[in-house]
Amino acid sequence: MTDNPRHDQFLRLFTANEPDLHAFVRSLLPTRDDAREVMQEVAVVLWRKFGTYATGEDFRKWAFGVARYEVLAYARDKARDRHVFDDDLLQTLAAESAAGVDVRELQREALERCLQNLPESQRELLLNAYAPGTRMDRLAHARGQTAMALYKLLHRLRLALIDCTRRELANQGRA
Amino acid sequence: MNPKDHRLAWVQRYADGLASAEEVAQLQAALREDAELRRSFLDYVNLDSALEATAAGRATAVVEFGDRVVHVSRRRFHWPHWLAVTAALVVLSVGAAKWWQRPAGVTVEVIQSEGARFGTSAEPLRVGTRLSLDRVELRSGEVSLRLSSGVVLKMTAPLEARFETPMRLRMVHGRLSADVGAHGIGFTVVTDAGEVVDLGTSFGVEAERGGESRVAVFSGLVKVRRGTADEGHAFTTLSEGEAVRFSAVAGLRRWQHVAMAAGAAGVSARSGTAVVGGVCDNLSEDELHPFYGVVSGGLRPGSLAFTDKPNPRWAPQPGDSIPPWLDGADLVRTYHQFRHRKDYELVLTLRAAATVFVLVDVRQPAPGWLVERFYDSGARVRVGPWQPAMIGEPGTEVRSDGLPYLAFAVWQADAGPGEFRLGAPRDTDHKDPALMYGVAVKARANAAAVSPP
Repeated sequence: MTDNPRHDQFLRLFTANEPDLHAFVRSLLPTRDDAREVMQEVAVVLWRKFGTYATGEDFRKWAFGVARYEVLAYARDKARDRHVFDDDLLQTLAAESAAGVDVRELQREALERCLQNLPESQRELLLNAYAPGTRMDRLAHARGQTAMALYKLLHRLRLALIDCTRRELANQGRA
Repeated sequence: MNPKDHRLAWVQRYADGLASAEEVAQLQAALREDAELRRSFLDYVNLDSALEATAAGRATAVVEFGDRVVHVSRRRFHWPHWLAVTAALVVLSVGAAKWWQRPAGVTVEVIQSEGARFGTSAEPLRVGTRLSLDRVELRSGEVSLRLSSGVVLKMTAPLEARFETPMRLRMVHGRLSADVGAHGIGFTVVTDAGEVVDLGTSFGVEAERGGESRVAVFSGLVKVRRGTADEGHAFTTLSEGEAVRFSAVAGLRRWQHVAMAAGAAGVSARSGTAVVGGVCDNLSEDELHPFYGVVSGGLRPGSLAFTDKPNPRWAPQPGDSIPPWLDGADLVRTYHQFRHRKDYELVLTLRAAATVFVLVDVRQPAPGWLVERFYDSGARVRVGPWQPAMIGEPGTEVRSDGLPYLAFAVWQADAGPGEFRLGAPRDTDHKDPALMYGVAVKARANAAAVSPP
């Protein structure tokens, strides 16, 4: 551990909330690369402003506020990019994403069980497709498919997983 | 969620980065109106985020906090979020902890050597040699060293440096490029001007003893700070395509023209002295830090077209070859993001009389300055791949890799030694988006040897 209790506190809070933050940021930006770029900025800003965070305050709520600001700033910088949602929709999605963060945390936990329910070949395909550095055209070529066919297959698997996680939560009475 | 809902296809294409601007507009309109679709959308991207994390193992996340760079490893999905994280923290302090300054014999492997000689040794370094290095004094040539962390350092003589640890190199003077890969994130180069921390993946550093340093980011992100942490200077983040000059006294300034090794531009080395002596633009010194990579002899099949895009590369049209009067021209890697700038001006400083080639998307009208001062040679080259979202746009050609490619026209003009100005990719009254043009230059004596038909 570090020799600074304040550092330790920040690291514990940040790492505990990082998955939610990342999912929140990802939901508002068009690509995974955009989300990674903004997350770096969010991490830096949270650290720089940690002096203003009061122990006992809701860290997640505070961090989501910072992340929302950084996403909107990033989106405005790319205002000419017509692949970025407009401000109004981003605000709506940000609010609804933050409101549903607990359910989505549970969905991510349920995902592990749902992934195990998939046939091994489908599970391996998904994890290969998402592995860092994977090029979809090469993966498709290796499978003897077109890239579009591979994207469609992945889409069907994602829908199946969402369905599974929602059923899991419904069974637990947590949907 | 109804799998047959056609709008989910828009969600999928958006999440995969394939959606065209029109599809994003359709998705946006639908999301505004339908709360249930918004719920499905948020579930979809939440899943996307979770799968990305699962696939990556989320074994490490690298975050910099003030004067510390922290690698955090943690397990996911196995405990409630409100419990303390099971974490292994490895703190890589950039401060002055005693153990940090202990001289380290760092094990390196020589993976490339061109006449490279260390210290007083008369023998050149051989590929495959393993060394334990503390000090590095490269007297001549070039050498690439791979560290046990996977970091690859390409050093150009004369260079003097010292490994403070396997992840921290103090460079007294010289020039090197670093490619840190997945496990070398946080690799730091310290100079008399300040320090550079690589957050992934490759950058170049030049250092003058006791003076200025210069850093250019070829890919990924770096953090740059002039001076030391004790002096209270903050880090500045640079991303791909950006470059700065900095010193302990003068602060950070833009470094516009970076002479690049061919490897960094995606081509194999070829000897030659660039006829392009300098490249700059009319953008504010304070606003951006991008640099123009100039590669001597760099216009060849497979060369990277833009400084800020990792994929599009120049190539001949299928079944054709790059015209001999264009092949091997000095390549100026322009900055694709500037395609939106209506008042943009690019200034080349030419060392000798030359032919300037401007490579322009055939689908878009040529801007007025190009039509006035250049002529279309009739030759065409191919550039790509571009993002999948461009598939289906008029004029794109989908190749066997399933990705879109475009044809660019080669316009040319003769230029004397001195300054030569190029304008914006599109006229101010033209509304449609334009792609940035490419630039190549060939000394006139060579260009005149074989004229275009």
